[in-house]
Amino acid sequence: MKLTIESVIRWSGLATVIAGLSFALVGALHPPNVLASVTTTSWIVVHVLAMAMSIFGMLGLAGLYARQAKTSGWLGLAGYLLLSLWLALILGFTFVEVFILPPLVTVEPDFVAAWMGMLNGTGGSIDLGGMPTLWLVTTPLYLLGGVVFGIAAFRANIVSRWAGVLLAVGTAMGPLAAFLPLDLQPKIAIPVGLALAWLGYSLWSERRSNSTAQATIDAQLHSA
Amino acid sequence: MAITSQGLIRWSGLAAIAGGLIFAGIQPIHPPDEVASVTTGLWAVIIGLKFVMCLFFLIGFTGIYARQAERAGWLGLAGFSLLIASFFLQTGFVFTELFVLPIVAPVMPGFVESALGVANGHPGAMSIGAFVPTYAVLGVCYLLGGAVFGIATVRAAVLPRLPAIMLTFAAIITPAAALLPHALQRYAAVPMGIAMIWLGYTLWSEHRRNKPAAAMSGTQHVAAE
Repeated sequence: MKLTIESVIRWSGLATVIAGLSFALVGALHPPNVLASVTTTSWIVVHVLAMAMSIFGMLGLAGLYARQAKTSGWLGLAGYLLLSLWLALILGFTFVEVFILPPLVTVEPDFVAAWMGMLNGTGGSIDLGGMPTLWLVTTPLYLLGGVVFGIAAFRANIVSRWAGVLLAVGTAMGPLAAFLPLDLQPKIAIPVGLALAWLGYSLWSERRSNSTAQATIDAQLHSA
Repeated sequence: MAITSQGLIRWSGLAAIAGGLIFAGIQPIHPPDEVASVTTGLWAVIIGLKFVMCLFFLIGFTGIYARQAERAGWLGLAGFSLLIASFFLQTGFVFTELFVLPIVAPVMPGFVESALGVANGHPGAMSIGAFVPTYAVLGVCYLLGGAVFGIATVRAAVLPRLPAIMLTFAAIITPAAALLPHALQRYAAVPMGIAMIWLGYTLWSEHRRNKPAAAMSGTQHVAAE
């Protein structure tokens, strides 16, 4: 089978679906950010899923953006870059949660406690250097990126525009998590994950109608 | 100014150049991978640059791949995916080196010793879980990805062959470099850096040089809107 740009972009739709579902599962299953969670299986599962969300999300967003680059303009580019940078930073934090916190929790619990304090906004006894600042930066990246990319997708009207609306509304609701109890806070990710999966599915499934459109254009060019 | 596929690919060339410059440039001044280094200012600067490099490479490889996606075929896609996976994991490792190790070093030097052991080839006494095998996965992805992506780039014949051959060469010599002292080992990164600068420069400059031929295969797809 010959690999075409269209099929690569289409496959990136599948990557977006995986990223979106992973994010929704992270939201649904995330254990509370407390010391005792770190050594549980669900902690590892959730954070491996979060890593999958990062890598598939970056690949998927690249395809999603490429598909609508011209139509979504500078707004689309801004949203794409903000969300990609967010995913790259989240990867770093998640990496530490998967590989560093579990072996460290028994020997250096203060570090893990400070880490949880950073996530929960309560602080800790150890100075974590530049990390808390970087963690703060991820919030506007996520909020702005999601809202802007969602609006750009809505305006471009190439993939499902209502998925774009859900992405924009879902990410904009993010700050509301602060009003929820600690164990419910991660659930705020679920609509955003579903919006991403929907965008991805829309990209993945548009192949037939698109190749028809392409065939029409090709035919017009040939007859001209 | 309207955004076009060619424009984006062209800008991704700049990211590849920046990543390549950092990758090749930091090697001679990279502090030794030992516990005493991680709390120095030089460590923060060099590892900070490495973190930025990882992000630039992710963008750069995507652009280089997009430029030749159709011609590079499945081999190109396989090489690209492996390289992305490799630099993705690398981002995590560099993040740890940059933000976690300096904080942990004063209280848990044994942990830092084990973490640096994955890079300097002297495994520390303390067990640090999946960190070590994951670094091996990263290495295999880098080796295979670089080799395969280089070969696919040569075969696609869209971009110059010489940097593509250098890319393959750099990936393949990396495990052989393990036989060298660690201080010399890191120079295996230099040909990779130069290859990225070269490929990136090609993407950046070809638009002007050769406007009609630079029309990328994806343009018609986007133009279909």
